Amino acid sequence: MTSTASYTIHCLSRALSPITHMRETRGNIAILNRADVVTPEGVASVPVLSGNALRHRMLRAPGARYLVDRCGLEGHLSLRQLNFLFHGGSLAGSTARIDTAAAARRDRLVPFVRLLGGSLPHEIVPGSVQVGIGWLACRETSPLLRTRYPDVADELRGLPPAAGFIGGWQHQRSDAARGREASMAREDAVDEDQKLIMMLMTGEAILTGALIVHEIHLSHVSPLELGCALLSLSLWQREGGSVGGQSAKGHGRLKTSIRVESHGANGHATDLDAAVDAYVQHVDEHAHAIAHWLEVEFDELPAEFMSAAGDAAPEKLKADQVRTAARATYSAGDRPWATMTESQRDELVAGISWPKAKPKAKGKGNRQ
Amino acid sequence: MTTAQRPPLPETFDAAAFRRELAGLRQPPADAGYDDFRDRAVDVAVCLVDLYNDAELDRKNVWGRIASGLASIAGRHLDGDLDLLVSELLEHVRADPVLVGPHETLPTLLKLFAGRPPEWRRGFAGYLAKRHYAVIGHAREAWEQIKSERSDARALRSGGATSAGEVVEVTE
Repeated sequence: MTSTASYTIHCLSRALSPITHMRETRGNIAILNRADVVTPEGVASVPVLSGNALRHRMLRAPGARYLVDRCGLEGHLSLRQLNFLFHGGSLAGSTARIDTAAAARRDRLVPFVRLLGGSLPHEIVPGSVQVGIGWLACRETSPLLRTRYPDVADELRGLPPAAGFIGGWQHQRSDAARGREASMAREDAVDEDQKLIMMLMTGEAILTGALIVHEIHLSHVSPLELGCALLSLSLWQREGGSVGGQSAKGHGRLKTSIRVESHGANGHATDLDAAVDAYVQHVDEHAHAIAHWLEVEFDELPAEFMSAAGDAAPEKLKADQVRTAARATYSAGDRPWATMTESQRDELVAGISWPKAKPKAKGKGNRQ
Repeated sequence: MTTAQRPPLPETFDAAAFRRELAGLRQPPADAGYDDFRDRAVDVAVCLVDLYNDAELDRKNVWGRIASGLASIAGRHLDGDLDLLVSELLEHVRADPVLVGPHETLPTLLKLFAGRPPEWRRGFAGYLAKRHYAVIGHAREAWEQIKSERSDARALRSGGATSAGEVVEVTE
């Protein structure tokens, strides 16, 4: 049995560009996402980054992208599989399947799934990670942060209020009819009824240089799951560490530093690099098996295999019997059809265990 | 990607690094308060009422026009350029430039804004943009008070009834 331990990854994120994580728009002004905080002076509303957004950007999306790249899944995934990997997926029906042995095999094979959880077609997999809210370091959140970080309590006093970290931005969408490019249009391109698409967009932003404090809790994870979380964080940072909206316009860049705290006597993750290396090695060694698991779990059996199975099946079998038998044989394997050699494919099809066709029942109704 | 090619882990921090990060956050000047947004917003709105150009605009729509100005113009100046914000607001109510300079409150108000730190100015622009309805509510009450005080002053100067019902007779 793999040993597990719990960790808290403390994150300090410095805004390298305006952060525009929005809650709503009022008129044409985009308003920052905020949370109410109880302070000694009363309830205050401060800008926050939601745990949901941080979880997606920092962990799920880079982790899923890594699996797609390393397991050669690009171009081979259905929308259901993509939704599961990148967005958590959804149950396909009302009936949940419980197979603890299969779940244990899956957890060992795909640490990403046990870490982040999600909804497989017939099973909800609970995750092991809880991502906290990103709190702006400011006067209003100071009491909250002081309880979490008593070693810097003095420095947390006297911070400017949240209003001091909120600025504005403005973008303008231009219109070709108003620009120099208008001269490139056809002579008959002028449409008097056409409305101009020029638009002014304004909104609030957390200022560049502001500090966001947040945490990621990993509850009873294996070393591979810890490695998966840390690798995802590293990939996210390498890609620019963006959160919130307007990233195409340069907004939302965070420079994040971390401190990993191990909880309990079984804490085994003192060597963070070793955990990440182990995960990288695990995915490389099991890339085919992971791709195969995704095919089987989502019942995305390759059309070419099903066609070959249909050709090889005894004539008396019904279509659903052919499918059931082919699926059972395919599921027992550990690599996807696309990675097999010709001889391996032939061997797989030849190895399908076909059921015997049942003789027709002789009931009273059949007697003449 | 091999283990050698993987990206490095994010930098780690300890208490000392956390202290340095916090120290980098700007400290507000000791005399800069952040609780006076409402009072200053009322001051701005009252200036706008006072400088509202009746000759060009309908007096009955004075509060509606100021509210629409606050909502649309303040939102464009969340960067804290209060000089420009106030200028555009004055333009919105078609204020007469001849009356703006000698106004009893406006120049002082602009000077006050100029002395405030950038974070205050940004916060104030945000306050105007988001709370324009409340600003109008407070400003209307303040304007009634000002009108009453001015009426009393006129009565004391030239004779007439004050807001308290006192009749003042001026004797030469």
